[in-house]
Amino acid sequence: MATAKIVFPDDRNAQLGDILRQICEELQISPTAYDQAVARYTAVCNWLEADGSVVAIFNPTIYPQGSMKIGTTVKPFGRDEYDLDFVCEFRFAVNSLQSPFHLLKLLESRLREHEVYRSILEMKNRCLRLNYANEFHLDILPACPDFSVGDSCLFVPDRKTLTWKHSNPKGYAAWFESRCEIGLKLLMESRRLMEKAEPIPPQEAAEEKAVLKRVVQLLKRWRDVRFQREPKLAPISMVLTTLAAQAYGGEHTVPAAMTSVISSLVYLVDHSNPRAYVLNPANPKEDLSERWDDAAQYRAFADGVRELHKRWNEALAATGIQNVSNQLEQLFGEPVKSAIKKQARTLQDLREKSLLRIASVGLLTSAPAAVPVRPNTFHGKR
Amino acid sequence: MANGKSFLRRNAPSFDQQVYRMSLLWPKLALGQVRRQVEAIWQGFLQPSPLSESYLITLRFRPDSNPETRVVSPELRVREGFKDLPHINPDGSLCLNVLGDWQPWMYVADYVVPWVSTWLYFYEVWHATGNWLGGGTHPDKPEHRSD
Repeated sequence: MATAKIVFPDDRNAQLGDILRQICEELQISPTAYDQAVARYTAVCNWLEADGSVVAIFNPTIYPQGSMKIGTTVKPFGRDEYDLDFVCEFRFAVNSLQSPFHLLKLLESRLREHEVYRSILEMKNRCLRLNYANEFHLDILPACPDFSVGDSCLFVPDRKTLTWKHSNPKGYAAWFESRCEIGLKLLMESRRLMEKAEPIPPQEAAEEKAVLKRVVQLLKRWRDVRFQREPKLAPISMVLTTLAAQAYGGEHTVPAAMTSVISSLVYLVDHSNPRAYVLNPANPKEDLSERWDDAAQYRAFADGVRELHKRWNEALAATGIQNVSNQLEQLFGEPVKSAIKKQARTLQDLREKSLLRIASVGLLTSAPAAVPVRPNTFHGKR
Repeated sequence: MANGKSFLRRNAPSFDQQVYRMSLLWPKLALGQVRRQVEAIWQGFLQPSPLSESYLITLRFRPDSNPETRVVSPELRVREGFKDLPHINPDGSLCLNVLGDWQPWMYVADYVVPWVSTWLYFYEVWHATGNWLGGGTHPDKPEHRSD
Protein backbone atom coordinates (compact mmCIF):
# COMPACT_ATOMS: atom_id res chain seq x y z
CA MET A 1 0.00 0.00 0.00
CA ALA A 2 1.34 3.43 -0.91
CA THR A 3 1.95 5.66 2.08
CA ALA A 4 -0.50 8.53 2.31
CA LYS A 5 0.90 11.90 1.32
CA ILE A 6 1.53 14.11 4.35
CA VAL A 7 -0.26 17.41 3.97
CA PHE A 8 -0.17 20.48 6.17
CA PRO A 9 -3.44 22.46 6.04
CA ASP A 10 -3.17 25.73 4.16
CA ASP A 11 -6.23 27.73 5.20
CA ARG A 12 -7.89 28.53 8.53
CA ASN A 13 -10.85 26.26 7.93
CA ALA A 14 -8.61 23.34 6.99
CA GLN A 15 -6.25 23.85 9.93
CA LEU A 16 -9.12 24.11 12.41
CA GLY A 17 -10.86 21.14 10.76
CA ASP A 18 -7.69 19.08 11.13
CA ILE A 19 -7.52 19.90 14.87
CA LEU A 20 -11.21 18.99 15.33
CA ARG A 21 -10.74 15.72 13.44
CA GLN A 22 -7.80 14.83 15.69
CA ILE A 23 -9.93 15.60 18.78
CA CYS A 24 -12.58 13.15 17.54
CA GLU A 25 -9.98 10.47 16.85
CA GLU A 26 -8.68 10.95 20.35
CA LEU A 27 -12.20 10.49 21.78
CA GLN A 28 -13.55 7.63 19.74
CA ILE A 29 -13.14 3.97 20.52
CA SER A 30 -9.89 2.56 19.13
CA PRO A 31 -10.05 -0.10 16.40
CA THR A 32 -8.57 -2.63 18.84
CA ALA A 33 -11.19 -1.89 21.50
CA TYR A 34 -13.89 -1.95 18.81
CA ASP A 35 -12.79 -5.43 17.70
CA GLN A 36 -12.70 -6.51 21.32
CA ALA A 37 -16.28 -5.29 21.82
CA VAL A 38 -17.39 -7.21 18.74
CA ALA A 39 -15.68 -10.34 20.08
CA ARG A 40 -17.41 -9.85 23.46
CA TYR A 41 -20.91 -9.47 22.05
CA THR A 42 -20.41 -12.34 19.64
CA ALA A 43 -19.43 -14.50 22.62
CA VAL A 44 -22.59 -13.43 24.47
CA CYS A 45 -24.65 -14.32 21.42
CA ASN A 46 -23.00 -17.75 21.19
CA TRP A 47 -23.77 -18.35 24.85
CA LEU A 48 -27.44 -17.54 24.29
CA GLU A 49 -27.61 -19.89 21.31
CA ALA A 50 -25.57 -22.73 22.84
CA ASP A 51 -26.94 -26.22 23.53
CA GLY A 52 -28.83 -26.21 26.82
CA SER A 53 -29.77 -22.54 26.59
CA VAL A 54 -33.41 -21.91 27.48
CA VAL A 55 -33.53 -18.95 25.09
CA ALA A 56 -31.95 -20.71 22.09
CA ILE A 57 -35.34 -21.64 20.63
CA PHE A 58 -36.19 -17.94 20.25
CA ASN A 59 -33.31 -17.39 17.80
CA PRO A 60 -31.59 -14.55 19.68
CA THR A 61 -29.50 -12.21 17.55
CA ILE A 62 -27.32 -9.46 18.98
CA TYR A 63 -26.39 -6.36 17.03
CA PRO A 64 -24.94 -2.96 17.89
CA GLN A 65 -27.12 0.11 18.18
CA GLY A 66 -26.52 3.76 19.07
CA SER A 67 -23.07 5.31 18.81
CA MET A 68 -21.37 1.93 18.26
CA LYS A 69 -23.60 1.37 15.24
CA ILE A 70 -23.43 4.87 13.72
CA GLY A 71 -19.77 5.61 14.48
CA THR A 72 -20.12 8.43 17.00
CA THR A 73 -18.55 6.92 20.14
CA VAL A 74 -17.05 9.35 22.63
CA LYS A 75 -14.87 8.42 25.57
CA PRO A 76 -16.83 9.21 28.73
CA PHE A 77 -15.60 12.15 30.80
CA GLY A 78 -13.40 11.12 33.71
CA ARG A 79 -13.57 7.35 33.29
CA ASP A 80 -12.15 4.75 30.95
CA GLU A 81 -15.14 2.58 30.05
CA TYR A 82 -17.12 3.35 26.91
CA ASP A 83 -20.86 2.72 27.04
CA LEU A 84 -21.69 0.45 24.12
CA ASP A 85 -25.28 -0.45 23.34
CA PHE A 86 -26.57 -3.65 21.81
CA VAL A 87 -29.97 -5.09 21.02
CA CYS A 88 -30.69 -8.73 21.74
CA GLU A 89 -33.65 -9.54 19.55
CA PHE A 90 -35.76 -12.62 20.27
CA ARG A 91 -38.07 -13.95 17.61
CA PHE A 92 -41.37 -14.28 19.40
CA ALA A 93 -44.60 -12.36 19.71
CA VAL A 94 -44.69 -9.99 22.63
CA ASN A 95 -48.12 -11.21 23.79
CA SER A 96 -46.73 -14.68 24.40
CA LEU A 97 -45.01 -13.25 27.49
CA GLN A 98 -46.78 -12.59 30.78
CA SER A 99 -45.10 -9.22 31.28
CA PRO A 100 -42.16 -7.13 30.05
CA PHE A 101 -40.37 -8.12 33.22
CA HIS A 102 -40.26 -11.73 32.01
CA LEU A 103 -38.17 -10.82 28.99
CA LEU A 104 -35.54 -9.16 31.16
CA LYS A 105 -35.67 -12.17 33.51
CA LEU A 106 -35.27 -14.62 30.65
CA LEU A 107 -32.08 -12.95 29.44
CA GLU A 108 -30.79 -12.48 32.95
CA SER A 109 -31.27 -16.12 33.97
CA ARG A 110 -29.33 -17.36 30.95
CA LEU A 111 -26.48 -14.90 31.54
CA ARG A 112 -26.32 -15.91 35.21
CA GLU A 113 -25.58 -19.49 34.17
CA HIS A 114 -22.23 -18.25 32.83
CA GLU A 115 -19.39 -18.10 35.30
CA VAL A 116 -17.94 -14.81 34.08
CA TYR A 117 -21.13 -12.99 33.10
CA ARG A 118 -22.61 -13.76 36.50
CA SER A 119 -19.90 -11.76 38.25
CA ILE A 120 -20.02 -8.70 35.98
CA LEU A 121 -23.77 -8.50 35.40
CA GLU A 122 -25.74 -5.44 36.47
CA MET A 123 -29.49 -4.90 36.07
CA LYS A 124 -30.63 -1.61 34.57
CA ASN A 125 -34.09 -0.26 33.86
CA ARG A 126 -34.32 -1.34 30.23
CA CYS A 127 -31.21 -3.40 29.73
CA LEU A 128 -28.65 -5.71 31.26
CA ARG A 129 -25.16 -4.42 31.63
CA LEU A 130 -21.92 -6.41 31.48
CA ASN A 131 -19.15 -4.41 33.16
CA TYR A 132 -15.77 -5.05 31.59
CA ALA A 133 -13.47 -3.04 33.86
CA ASN A 134 -11.20 -0.56 32.01
CA GLU A 135 -12.76 -1.54 28.67
CA PHE A 136 -16.45 -0.85 28.29
CA HIS A 137 -19.96 -1.31 29.62
CA LEU A 138 -21.81 -3.61 27.31
CA ASP A 139 -25.49 -2.72 27.58
CA ILE A 140 -27.77 -5.38 26.17
CA LEU A 141 -31.35 -4.37 25.49
CA PRO A 142 -33.67 -7.38 25.14
CA ALA A 143 -36.35 -6.85 22.52
CA CYS A 144 -38.93 -8.61 20.40
CA PRO A 145 -40.30 -7.63 17.04
CA ASP A 146 -43.40 -5.49 16.75
CA PHE A 147 -45.15 -7.69 14.16
CA SER A 148 -48.07 -5.25 13.89
CA VAL A 149 -45.80 -2.56 12.40
CA GLY A 150 -43.15 -4.72 10.81
CA ASP A 151 -39.92 -3.34 9.37
CA SER A 152 -37.41 -3.12 12.15
CA CYS A 153 -39.79 -1.92 14.87
CA LEU A 154 -39.32 -3.47 18.28
CA PHE A 155 -40.91 -3.76 21.70
CA VAL A 156 -38.54 -3.25 24.62
CA PRO A 157 -39.36 -3.84 28.29
CA ASP A 158 -39.38 -1.07 30.87
CA ARG A 159 -38.70 -2.39 34.35
CA LYS A 160 -39.93 0.66 36.30
CA THR A 161 -43.32 0.99 34.63
CA LEU A 162 -43.68 -2.68 33.69
CA THR A 163 -44.78 -1.66 30.22
CA TRP A 164 -43.54 -2.23 26.67
CA LYS A 165 -41.87 0.69 24.94
CA HIS A 166 -41.54 1.15 21.19
CA SER A 167 -38.08 1.26 19.71
CA ASN A 168 -36.49 1.12 16.27
CA PRO A 169 -32.69 1.24 16.49
CA LYS A 170 -32.14 -0.09 12.96
CA GLY A 171 -34.55 2.45 11.53
CA TYR A 172 -32.84 5.25 13.45
CA ALA A 173 -29.39 4.21 12.24
CA ALA A 174 -30.63 4.10 8.64
CA TRP A 175 -32.13 7.59 9.00
CA PHE A 176 -28.87 8.93 10.49
CA GLU A 177 -26.75 7.42 7.71
CA SER A 178 -29.04 8.99 5.11
CA ARG A 179 -28.45 12.40 6.76
CA CYS A 180 -24.69 11.79 6.65
CA GLU A 181 -24.87 11.36 2.89
CA ILE A 182 -26.38 14.79 2.20
CA GLY A 183 -22.95 16.36 1.82
CA LEU A 184 -21.88 13.63 -0.56
CA LYS A 185 -25.01 14.07 -2.65
CA LEU A 186 -24.47 17.82 -2.88
CA LEU A 187 -20.87 17.24 -3.90
CA MET A 188 -21.91 14.81 -6.65
CA GLU A 189 -24.54 17.26 -7.83
CA SER A 190 -22.03 20.13 -8.02
CA ARG A 191 -19.62 17.91 -9.94
CA ARG A 192 -22.36 16.99 -12.35
CA LEU A 193 -23.19 20.67 -12.89
CA MET A 194 -19.54 21.44 -13.50
CA GLU A 195 -19.55 18.52 -15.94
CA LYS A 196 -16.77 16.77 -14.12
CA ALA A 197 -17.24 13.14 -14.91
CA GLU A 198 -14.70 11.57 -12.60
CA PRO A 199 -16.14 9.67 -9.63
CA ILE A 200 -15.46 10.70 -6.04
CA PRO A 201 -12.65 8.53 -4.64
CA PRO A 202 -13.67 6.19 -1.77
CA GLN A 203 -11.44 7.94 0.79
CA GLU A 204 -12.95 11.33 0.00
CA ALA A 205 -16.45 9.85 0.07
CA ALA A 206 -15.79 8.35 3.52
CA GLU A 207 -14.56 11.72 4.82
CA GLU A 208 -17.59 13.48 3.36
CA LYS A 209 -19.90 11.02 5.08
CA ALA A 210 -18.09 11.45 8.37
CA VAL A 211 -18.58 15.23 8.69
CA LEU A 212 -21.89 14.86 10.56
CA LYS A 213 -20.45 12.04 12.72
CA ARG A 214 -17.59 14.33 13.79
CA VAL A 215 -20.10 17.08 14.64
CA VAL A 216 -22.08 14.66 16.80
CA GLN A 217 -18.91 13.53 18.61
CA LEU A 218 -17.91 17.14 19.27
CA LEU A 219 -21.36 18.04 20.59
CA LYS A 220 -21.38 15.01 22.90
CA ARG A 221 -17.92 15.91 24.16
CA TRP A 222 -18.99 19.53 24.71
CA ARG A 223 -21.98 18.20 26.69
CA ASP A 224 -19.73 16.03 28.89
CA VAL A 225 -17.41 18.96 29.61
CA ARG A 226 -20.17 21.56 30.08
CA PHE A 227 -22.27 19.40 32.42
CA GLN A 228 -19.48 17.60 34.28
CA ARG A 229 -20.65 18.99 37.64
CA GLU A 230 -24.36 18.51 36.97
CA PRO A 231 -24.58 15.39 34.79
CA LYS A 232 -28.28 14.95 35.58
CA LEU A 233 -29.01 18.16 33.63
CA ALA A 234 -27.05 17.03 30.55
CA PRO A 235 -29.04 16.46 27.34
CA ILE A 236 -29.02 12.80 26.29
CA SER A 237 -26.87 11.66 23.35
CA MET A 238 -29.84 10.71 21.19
CA VAL A 239 -31.29 14.22 21.48
CA LEU A 240 -27.98 15.82 20.45
CA THR A 241 -27.48 13.30 17.64
CA THR A 242 -30.99 13.84 16.27
CA LEU A 243 -30.81 17.64 16.45
CA ALA A 244 -27.41 17.68 14.74
CA ALA A 245 -28.55 15.32 11.98
CA GLN A 246 -31.71 17.38 11.37
CA ALA A 247 -29.77 20.66 11.21
CA TYR A 248 -26.87 19.40 9.08
CA GLY A 249 -27.01 21.06 5.68
CA GLY A 250 -24.42 18.99 3.83
CA GLU A 251 -21.43 21.22 4.63
CA HIS A 252 -18.17 19.66 3.45
CA THR A 253 -16.00 20.66 6.41
CA VAL A 254 -16.40 20.03 10.13
CA PRO A 255 -15.98 23.72 11.16
CA ALA A 256 -18.65 24.83 8.64
CA ALA A 257 -21.01 22.04 9.72
CA MET A 258 -20.47 22.89 13.41
CA THR A 259 -21.28 26.55 12.74
CA SER A 260 -24.44 25.64 10.89
CA VAL A 261 -25.63 23.09 13.49
CA ILE A 262 -24.90 25.40 16.44
CA SER A 263 -26.80 28.27 14.76
CA SER A 264 -29.78 25.94 14.30
CA LEU A 265 -29.65 24.94 17.97
CA VAL A 266 -29.72 28.60 19.00
CA TYR A 267 -32.63 29.25 16.63
CA LEU A 268 -34.47 26.28 18.12
CA VAL A 269 -34.13 27.40 21.74
CA ASP A 270 -34.89 31.04 20.84
CA HIS A 271 -38.12 30.07 19.08
CA SER A 272 -39.50 27.29 21.28
CA ASN A 273 -41.83 28.15 24.12
CA PRO A 274 -42.09 26.73 26.70
CA ARG A 275 -39.76 24.06 25.32
CA ALA A 276 -38.52 22.37 22.16
CA TYR A 277 -39.53 18.84 21.14
CA VAL A 278 -37.18 16.30 19.64
CA LEU A 279 -39.12 13.41 18.16
CA ASN A 280 -37.57 10.13 17.11
CA PRO A 281 -37.35 10.28 13.29
CA ALA A 282 -37.78 6.49 13.20
CA ASN A 283 -40.86 6.69 15.42
CA PRO A 284 -42.49 10.13 15.61
CA LYS A 285 -44.67 9.00 18.50
CA GLU A 286 -41.59 8.88 20.69
CA ASP A 287 -40.54 12.17 22.34
CA LEU A 288 -36.80 11.78 22.83
CA SER A 289 -36.79 15.00 24.80
CA GLU A 290 -39.38 13.97 27.40
CA ARG A 291 -36.97 14.98 30.17
CA TRP A 292 -37.46 18.58 29.09
CA ASP A 293 -40.93 18.47 30.65
CA ASP A 294 -38.84 19.41 33.67
CA ALA A 295 -38.29 23.14 33.17
CA ALA A 296 -34.92 23.11 34.93
CA GLN A 297 -33.61 20.45 32.51
CA TYR A 298 -34.73 22.45 29.50
CA ARG A 299 -33.33 25.73 30.84
CA ALA A 300 -29.96 24.03 31.39
CA PHE A 301 -29.98 22.90 27.73
CA ALA A 302 -31.02 26.32 26.39
CA ASP A 303 -28.40 28.15 28.48
CA GLY A 304 -25.77 25.63 27.46
CA VAL A 305 -26.55 26.07 23.76
CA ARG A 306 -26.27 29.87 23.98
CA GLU A 307 -22.95 29.57 25.76
CA LEU A 308 -21.72 27.05 23.18
CA HIS A 309 -22.65 29.50 20.41
CA LYS A 310 -20.71 32.33 22.07
CA ARG A 311 -17.61 30.23 22.74
CA TRP A 312 -17.62 28.64 19.29
CA ASN A 313 -17.69 32.09 17.66
CA GLU A 314 -14.83 33.18 19.91
CA ALA A 315 -12.81 30.14 18.85
CA LEU A 316 -13.49 30.93 15.17
CA ALA A 317 -12.34 34.53 15.66
CA ALA A 318 -9.19 33.75 17.67
CA THR A 319 -5.72 34.13 16.15
CA GLY A 320 -2.60 32.47 17.44
CA ILE A 321 -2.55 28.70 17.85
CA GLN A 322 -2.31 29.12 21.63
CA ASN A 323 -5.43 31.32 21.69
CA VAL A 324 -7.43 29.04 19.40
CA SER A 325 -6.31 26.15 21.59
CA ASN A 326 -7.47 27.91 24.79
CA GLN A 327 -10.90 28.57 23.34
CA LEU A 328 -11.29 25.00 22.09
CA GLU A 329 -10.13 23.60 25.43
CA GLN A 330 -12.96 25.40 27.20
CA LEU A 331 -15.36 23.58 24.89
CA PHE A 332 -13.76 20.15 24.53
CA GLY A 333 -11.17 19.84 27.29
CA GLU A 334 -7.89 17.94 27.30
CA PRO A 335 -7.88 16.27 23.83
CA VAL A 336 -7.28 19.70 22.26
CA LYS A 337 -3.64 19.75 23.38
CA SER A 338 -3.03 16.29 21.92
CA ALA A 339 -4.60 17.43 18.65
CA ILE A 340 -2.32 20.50 18.43
CA LYS A 341 0.68 18.25 19.14
CA LYS A 342 -0.30 15.84 16.38
CA GLN A 343 -0.55 18.69 13.92
CA ALA A 344 2.86 20.01 15.01
CA ARG A 345 4.37 16.54 14.59
CA THR A 346 3.03 16.44 11.03
CA LEU A 347 4.81 19.70 10.30
CA GLN A 348 8.01 18.53 11.97
CA ASP A 349 7.79 15.30 9.98
CA LEU A 350 7.55 17.25 6.72
CA ARG A 351 10.48 19.40 7.84
CA GLU A 352 12.67 16.40 8.65
CA LYS A 353 11.88 14.87 5.27
CA SER A 354 12.73 18.19 3.55
CA LEU A 355 9.15 18.40 2.25
CA LEU A 356 8.26 21.59 4.09
CA ARG A 357 7.81 24.72 1.97
CA ILE A 358 7.02 28.32 2.74
CA ALA A 359 4.62 30.53 0.83
CA SER A 360 4.07 34.28 0.85
CA VAL A 361 3.66 36.03 4.23
CA GLY A 362 5.62 33.14 5.73
CA LEU A 363 2.95 30.43 5.71
CA LEU A 364 4.46 26.99 6.15
CA THR A 365 2.98 24.55 3.68
CA SER A 366 3.33 21.16 2.07
CA ALA A 367 2.41 22.58 -1.34
CA PRO A 368 5.30 21.99 -3.76
CA ALA A 369 5.23 25.39 -5.51
CA ALA A 370 6.86 27.36 -2.73
CA VAL A 371 10.30 28.08 -1.24
CA PRO A 372 11.75 25.01 0.52
CA VAL A 373 12.56 25.21 4.23
CA ARG A 374 16.25 24.23 4.60
CA PRO A 375 17.63 22.19 7.49
CA ASN A 376 18.52 23.98 10.71
CA THR A 377 18.83 23.14 14.39
CA PHE A 378 17.22 25.49 16.92
CA HIS A 379 19.81 26.25 19.53
CA GLY A 380 19.50 27.10 23.21
CA LYS A 381 21.14 29.76 25.27
CA ARG A 382 24.92 30.00 24.86
CA MET B 1 21.99 19.29 10.74
CA ALA B 2 25.04 21.38 9.82
CA ASN B 3 25.43 21.48 6.06
CA GLY B 4 28.85 19.93 5.45
CA LYS B 5 29.30 20.63 1.76
CA SER B 6 31.86 23.42 2.22
CA PHE B 7 34.39 21.54 0.07
CA LEU B 8 32.36 22.66 -2.91
CA ARG B 9 33.68 26.16 -2.18
CA ARG B 10 30.64 27.86 -3.50
CA ASN B 11 30.92 31.56 -4.07
CA ALA B 12 29.22 33.69 -1.48
CA PRO B 13 26.55 35.98 -2.95
CA SER B 14 27.42 39.64 -2.91
CA PHE B 15 25.76 42.09 -0.54
CA ASP B 16 23.62 43.46 -3.39
CA GLN B 17 22.61 39.94 -4.45
CA GLN B 18 21.39 39.24 -0.90
CA VAL B 19 19.32 42.42 -0.92
CA TYR B 20 17.92 41.70 -4.39
CA ARG B 21 17.00 38.11 -3.53
CA MET B 22 15.12 39.31 -0.43
CA SER B 23 13.07 41.76 -2.51
CA LEU B 24 12.34 38.98 -4.98
CA LEU B 25 11.14 36.33 -2.52
CA TRP B 26 9.80 38.53 0.30
CA PRO B 27 8.59 41.79 -1.23
CA LYS B 28 6.53 42.47 1.89
CA LEU B 29 9.59 42.44 4.15
CA ALA B 30 10.60 46.06 3.72
CA LEU B 31 14.25 47.01 3.50
CA GLY B 32 14.81 49.66 6.15
CA GLN B 33 18.24 50.72 7.19
CA VAL B 34 20.98 49.77 4.74
CA ARG B 35 24.72 50.56 4.74
CA ARG B 36 26.16 48.92 1.67
CA GLN B 37 28.64 46.14 2.36
CA VAL B 38 28.09 46.62 6.10
CA GLU B 39 24.51 45.99 7.14
CA ALA B 40 20.94 45.58 5.84
CA ILE B 41 17.84 45.45 8.05
CA TRP B 42 14.42 44.29 6.87
CA GLN B 43 11.15 44.62 8.72
CA GLY B 44 7.75 43.07 8.03
CA PHE B 45 5.12 40.54 9.00
CA LEU B 46 5.36 36.75 9.01
CA GLN B 47 2.44 34.43 9.74
CA PRO B 48 3.64 30.83 10.11
CA SER B 49 0.28 29.05 9.78
CA PRO B 50 -3.29 30.07 8.88
CA LEU B 51 -4.45 30.07 12.52
CA SER B 52 -1.31 31.85 13.72
CA GLU B 53 -0.76 35.48 14.65
CA SER B 54 1.10 37.78 12.25
CA TYR B 55 4.41 38.69 13.82
CA LEU B 56 6.30 41.88 13.06
CA ILE B 57 9.93 40.85 12.78
CA THR B 58 13.26 42.48 11.98
CA LEU B 59 16.06 40.68 10.22
CA ARG B 60 19.60 42.06 10.20
CA PHE B 61 22.20 40.85 7.74
CA ARG B 62 25.93 41.55 7.98
CA PRO B 63 28.46 39.85 5.74
CA ASP B 64 30.58 37.38 7.72
CA SER B 65 28.23 37.11 10.68
CA ASN B 66 25.19 35.11 11.69
CA PRO B 67 21.98 36.90 10.60
CA GLU B 68 20.01 38.25 13.54
CA THR B 69 16.23 38.11 13.91
CA ARG B 70 13.97 39.71 16.48
CA VAL B 71 10.24 39.66 17.07
CA VAL B 72 8.97 43.22 17.55
CA SER B 73 5.30 42.48 18.13
CA PRO B 74 3.32 40.89 19.57
CA GLU B 75 5.89 40.74 22.34
CA LEU B 76 7.21 37.23 23.00
CA ARG B 77 5.95 35.95 26.35
CA VAL B 78 7.17 33.22 28.66
CA ARG B 79 4.62 30.46 29.11
CA GLU B 80 3.07 30.02 32.53
CA GLY B 81 5.06 27.50 34.54
CA PHE B 82 8.30 28.17 32.64
CA LYS B 83 11.25 30.38 33.57
CA ASP B 84 12.20 31.62 30.12
CA LEU B 85 11.63 31.42 26.38
CA PRO B 86 13.00 28.44 24.46
CA HIS B 87 15.68 28.96 21.81
CA ILE B 88 16.41 32.62 22.48
CA ASN B 89 19.84 34.25 22.60
CA PRO B 90 20.83 36.18 25.72
CA ASP B 91 20.27 39.44 23.79
CA GLY B 92 16.67 38.47 22.97
CA SER B 93 17.20 37.56 19.30
CA LEU B 94 15.88 34.22 18.03
CA CYS B 95 18.29 31.32 18.19
CA LEU B 96 17.55 29.77 14.84
CA ASN B 97 20.59 27.64 14.22
CA VAL B 98 23.70 26.04 15.61
CA LEU B 99 27.09 27.21 14.42
CA GLY B 100 27.63 25.76 10.97
CA ASP B 101 23.98 25.76 9.88
CA TRP B 102 24.60 29.22 8.48
CA GLN B 103 27.23 29.55 5.74
CA PRO B 104 28.35 32.63 3.82
CA TRP B 105 27.25 31.10 0.49
CA MET B 106 23.63 30.95 1.70
CA TYR B 107 20.95 33.46 0.83
CA VAL B 108 19.16 35.03 3.80
CA ALA B 109 15.95 34.95 1.77
CA ASP B 110 16.09 31.20 1.11
CA TYR B 111 17.40 30.05 4.45
CA VAL B 112 16.76 32.42 7.32
CA VAL B 113 13.21 33.60 6.59
CA PRO B 114 11.83 30.02 6.49
CA TRP B 115 13.68 29.28 9.75
CA VAL B 116 11.98 32.28 11.39
CA SER B 117 8.53 31.10 10.31
CA THR B 118 9.25 27.61 11.63
CA TRP B 119 10.47 29.08 14.93
CA LEU B 120 7.29 31.17 15.26
CA TYR B 121 5.09 28.14 14.59
CA PHE B 122 6.77 26.03 17.27
CA TYR B 123 6.70 29.00 19.65
CA GLU B 124 2.88 29.08 19.37
CA VAL B 125 2.63 25.31 19.79
CA TRP B 126 4.87 25.60 22.88
CA HIS B 127 2.44 28.14 24.34
CA ALA B 128 -0.53 25.90 23.55
CA THR B 129 0.94 22.64 24.84
CA GLY B 130 4.05 23.31 26.95
CA ASN B 131 6.16 21.25 24.54
CA TRP B 132 8.75 22.46 22.04
CA LEU B 133 8.14 20.07 19.17
CA GLY B 134 10.57 21.58 16.68
CA GLY B 135 13.64 19.67 17.84
CA GLY B 136 16.99 21.34 18.41
CA THR B 137 19.73 21.32 20.98
CA HIS B 138 19.11 21.47 24.74
CA PRO B 139 16.89 18.40 24.71
CA ASP B 140 17.33 18.24 28.49
CA LYS B 141 15.08 21.26 28.95
CA PRO B 142 11.49 20.64 30.10
CA GLU B 143 9.91 21.97 26.88
CA HIS B 144 11.61 19.18 24.94
CA ARG B 145 9.63 16.49 26.69
CA SER B 146 7.45 14.97 24.04
CA ASP B 147 4.66 13.55 26.22
